[in-house]
Amino acid sequence: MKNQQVLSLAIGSLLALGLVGNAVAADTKMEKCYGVAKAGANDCGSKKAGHACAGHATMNNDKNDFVALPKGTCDKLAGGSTTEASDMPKKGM
Amino acid sequence: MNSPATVALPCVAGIGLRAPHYQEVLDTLPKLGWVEAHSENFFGGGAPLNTLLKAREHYAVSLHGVGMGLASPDQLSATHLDALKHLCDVVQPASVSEHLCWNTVGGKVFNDLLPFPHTFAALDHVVSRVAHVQEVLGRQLLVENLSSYLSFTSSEMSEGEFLAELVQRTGCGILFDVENLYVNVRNLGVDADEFIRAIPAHAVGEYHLAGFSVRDGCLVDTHDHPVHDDVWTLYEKVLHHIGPRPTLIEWDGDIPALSVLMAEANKAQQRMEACDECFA
Amino acid sequence: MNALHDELSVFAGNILGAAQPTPLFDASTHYTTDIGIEVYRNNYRGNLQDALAGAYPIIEQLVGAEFFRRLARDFISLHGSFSANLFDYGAELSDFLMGYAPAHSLPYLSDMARLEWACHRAYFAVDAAPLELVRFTQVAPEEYANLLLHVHPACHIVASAFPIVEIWQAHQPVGTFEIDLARGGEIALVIRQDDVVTVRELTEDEAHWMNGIMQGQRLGEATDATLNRHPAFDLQNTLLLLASLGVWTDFTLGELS
Repeated sequence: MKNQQVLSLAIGSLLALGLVGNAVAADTKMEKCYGVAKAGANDCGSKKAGHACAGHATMNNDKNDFVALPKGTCDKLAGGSTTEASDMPKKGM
Repeated sequence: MNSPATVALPCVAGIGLRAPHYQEVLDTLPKLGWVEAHSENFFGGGAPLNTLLKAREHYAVSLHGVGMGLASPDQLSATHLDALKHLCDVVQPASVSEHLCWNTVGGKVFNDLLPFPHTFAALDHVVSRVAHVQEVLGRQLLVENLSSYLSFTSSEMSEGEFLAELVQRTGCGILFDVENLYVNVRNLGVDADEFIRAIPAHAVGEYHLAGFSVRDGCLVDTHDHPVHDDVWTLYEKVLHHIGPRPTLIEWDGDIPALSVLMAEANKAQQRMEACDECFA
Repeated sequence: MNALHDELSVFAGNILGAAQPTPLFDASTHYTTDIGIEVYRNNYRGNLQDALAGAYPIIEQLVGAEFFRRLARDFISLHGSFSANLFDYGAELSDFLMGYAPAHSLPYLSDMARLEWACHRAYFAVDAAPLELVRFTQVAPEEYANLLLHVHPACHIVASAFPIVEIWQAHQPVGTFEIDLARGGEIALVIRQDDVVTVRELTEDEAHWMNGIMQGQRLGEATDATLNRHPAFDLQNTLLLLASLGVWTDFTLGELS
């Protein structure tokens, strides 16, 4: 281990933080989500086909015969809809 | 094994606790007899479980499972049962219930409550599984009658007879869903009086009431409407034959304002009290 | 139990649409057996579709409700459910989207699905109390290199060649859409604090180090590896930042090297 001093400084600062009571200011740049409850997915499973489950996709209109294009917030991204996927760099890591 | 249902729910009307009402319930702590929640929604930790634990501080909680698949031909999922056991340990619910249905075959899971043939072989199978679940949980399980859209030609007994045998052999209790029975009466020609006579009254620990919808002549148990007048009438009949029990208003689709749910619960409460009087 | 297994296998085939209706069922006087089976088919697909929409709210917003329905149906036809808890359904959506031709024009969709699944799992992860930092007084400085830091079960890292953190933030209640996809990739750290799932960006060196820790490397090992690749890596700040986010839940000492 060639970085003993780095480790000592780092753990030392954690320890110091602990001694003052873990009082760290919240990171203000962070966005939060799921602060409100996710709907209970198993409610629908519990009981049959809430309207959304049973109400659509009947025998007659269930054929996969329409060609829909993505039409949502992707339109608000600059360059959000590109056909040059193959030119994109590979994912890191 | 004919012990009465050991349910600690207060014998009053309660409501299903669903996500859209969590905040309002915890903020305003309305007068609710008790609440019921779907067990699987609280597997794991974090916000769902902590929300339920907060509610538990103010209300008796019933845990109502939708995924155990008591009649599935596949082996009972140990993972699922462990998760339920852990939840029961943490929440200490007043009541724990599951459905008389199957959901898994050949490793494929159908996230639904599916009917099966009421045969003697199926009875042996379900008996051993209910006994196992009760042993692991260390408590009595209430088993709920199912709403069905199909019935099997190979059935050898009625659902009521099946439940009576199950109670006799496992000591489990019954969650009597009055609306499910009504759906089966309308869809499949099930005899409501036969069902009410067949099940042992002492084992009934809870009632469910809900609304249905109709598709192509089939009543679908969608829980997205007020309780139908015919179901209220059947509930009154059930109260007279079996007696008052903790009664739940279930509403899972197009969930209305909390006040609407509470008003529905109040209708059930009034009927229970009227029944008390006629018993007295 | 063979008869039960056989009958329910046929019923399962009916629900999946693979088999013809059979004489398993008594006729209802009000509707045909086909309609009864169709109700179960709709329940099956509808429940899975709703579960997908619940797990992937940003994917649904990005492509719109109509496209999402089609996407969900195509996914469900390839991926059955293996859990009786619907919150477990949909893990493979990211892989599915990589090869999904109708969404070819949205190359970031697969990575967004991976990020949303990480958030979804984080929401339901078991609870773990944050590490009390004073416990480090129990460790001699020469042992620091052997520390194994335990990470909160809700913690995930998702790397992408696209600005997935910005896209994610744009879909939060206060988010704004000022995103240029050409800006390049981002690495997302998913955590849960006070029951709330949060996403923030990690730098490349932070993520490199954190991945080492999450793979079970000891503190010395992970730090050496990261400093070799990113000489400017700031261990002290990284440790403090992650501590403030409640990432550390415990530590143990690995074997002496």
